[in-house]
Amino acid sequence: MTFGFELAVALRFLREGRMQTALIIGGAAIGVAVIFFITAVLTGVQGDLIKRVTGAQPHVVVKPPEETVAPLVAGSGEASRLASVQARPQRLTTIDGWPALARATEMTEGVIAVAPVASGSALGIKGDASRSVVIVGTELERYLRVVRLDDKVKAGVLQLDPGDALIGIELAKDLGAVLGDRFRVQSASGVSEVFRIRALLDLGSRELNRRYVYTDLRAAQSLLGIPGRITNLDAAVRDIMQADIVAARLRAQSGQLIESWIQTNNQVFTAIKNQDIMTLLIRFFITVVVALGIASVLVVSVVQKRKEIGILRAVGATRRQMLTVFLLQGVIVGIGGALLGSGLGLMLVSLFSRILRNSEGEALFSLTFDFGLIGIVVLAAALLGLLAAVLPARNAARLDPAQAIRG
Amino acid sequence: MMTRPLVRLQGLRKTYNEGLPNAEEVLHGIDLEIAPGEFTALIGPSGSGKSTLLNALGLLEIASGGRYELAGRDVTVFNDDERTRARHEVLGFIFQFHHLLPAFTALENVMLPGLMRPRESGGPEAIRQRAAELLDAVGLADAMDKKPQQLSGGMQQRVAIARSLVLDPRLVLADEPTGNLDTHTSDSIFELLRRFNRESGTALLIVTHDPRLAARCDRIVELVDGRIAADRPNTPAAA
Repeated sequence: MTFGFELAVALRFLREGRMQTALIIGGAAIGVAVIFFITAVLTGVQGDLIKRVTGAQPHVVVKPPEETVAPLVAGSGEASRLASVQARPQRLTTIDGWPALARATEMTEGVIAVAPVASGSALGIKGDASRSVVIVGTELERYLRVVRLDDKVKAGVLQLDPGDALIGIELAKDLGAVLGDRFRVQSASGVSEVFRIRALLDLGSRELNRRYVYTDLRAAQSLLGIPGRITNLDAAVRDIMQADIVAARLRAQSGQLIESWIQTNNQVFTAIKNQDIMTLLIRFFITVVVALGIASVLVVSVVQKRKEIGILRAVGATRRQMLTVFLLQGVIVGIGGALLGSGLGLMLVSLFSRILRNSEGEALFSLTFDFGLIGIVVLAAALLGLLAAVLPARNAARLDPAQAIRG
Repeated sequence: MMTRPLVRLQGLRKTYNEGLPNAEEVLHGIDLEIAPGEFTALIGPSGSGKSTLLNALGLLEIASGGRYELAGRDVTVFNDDERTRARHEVLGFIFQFHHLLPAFTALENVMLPGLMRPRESGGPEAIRQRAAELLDAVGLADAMDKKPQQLSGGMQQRVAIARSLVLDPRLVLADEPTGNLDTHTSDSIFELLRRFNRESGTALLIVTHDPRLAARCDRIVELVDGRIAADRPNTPAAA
């Protein structure tokens, strides 16, 4: 079946109704552009937010289970019962046999990288200055696949040989240290060691910048008094929004305590989800408005073209052919609007990417020219146009030719 | 009649608003036969039912009763698609106000019926050629690419005639084809119809108010109050 005749008539009808066609394609284009734009802005804003929140944090952390006090209950019933169970102060708990757990975690669906971490608090000392710090001892090469530190380096190089440390920029300021300086770290148990500052990091928040000291795993282990053991495994997941699901999966297969960034930043995550729902609603209503616009213009067009429809029917066009003529008009308007709207949307995005900036003055979103997305938009718009044209097209097909010609 | 009739109406009735209080019977049982190649005038006062009869013959209106055989087939039982197909295959239409599609050129207007089912009509190129020939034959070889509004009323009606003939119909139904044209133009249009009738053997039924034109047809059917009041052969006076 060819659409030669139907397509030719549809195109001519659209060209003939110049103003109407321009208006409705324009309307559809604006709708598409707005959808395009808010999607880009939202993606940018959320991406920025997530980056900020999770910047120096792993997506998922595997920790040893919290130590609880098991109430001793002898016999059944009458024996002594404890009236209250007091939580135990938490010591530095560690994971034994972590290499096996790390391998198991790495094999889990959705996990892309795992790094062992020995972490605990200590004191950073240089001269008279001393600051409370968080020691993060790890194998740098593995850790970089979990948390991207490379884009956070303000000065120096990412290198963690024994005796090296990477510290937050605020901490360096507080200690009055510069790149290459040495400073001492002393743990609560009194062990102390000297580190050389190999890099200054901007971890995205003042608090982190003031406290974090990255060191070699072994050094941290000996500082914290847990040789050969680690305090947690840090993992990165493929889809950050699915971190919860991966966490649940890990929880099911290990006896460890699993925390995802979503849990630890629940408000942020809820805000992002709510934004998603809002924009979904906005996009939905824009779509409905565009569809109604296309439908109403075509309804008017059918009335205006009554006589011509009647003539075509009289000289042999079938109802189905008239139906197709108007369905095609809907599809063409949809596609035209989508193409124009995508262009307009890209223009808006490129314009606003220069205006909208985050607190650091970086562009909130980048202009990504995604042909796949445009393809989807065009396809969706074609379908939308088709659906919008159903009612008017049926009106056209049902016209009685004798009455239509009589006028 | 010697040959099998192209059209045979038996007791054809048409009632508007059937079943409603304002129902009105417009055609009260028409018996009419049209032979292939006949050149017939349908005359009668306004409101006599000429247009209704023409529409019924053209399968644009469904008869309320009686029987209609077109080219040997009982079309009263046809559904919409079958009627559409029969219109396309057997009939040609010339309307009073030419009714060309303003968005298409003269040539495209003539081609349109053929383009609806291009394979049956020999493909787009054959249709284009046939349409061009017809426009040439009606004297519009130079106006093929003009839009209807660039043409005079007489020229538009010539395009409409070419369109009605593009698929070689067996019967052309013309509703006052010269109704809104001046005498001179109207004469030349009429001559054109006469010529095609002679050359291609297409039967024509022409509704007209103009007794001068009717007098130049082979047969005159007169309709009065929805009934055939007179049906007589006519020897056309030499033009």
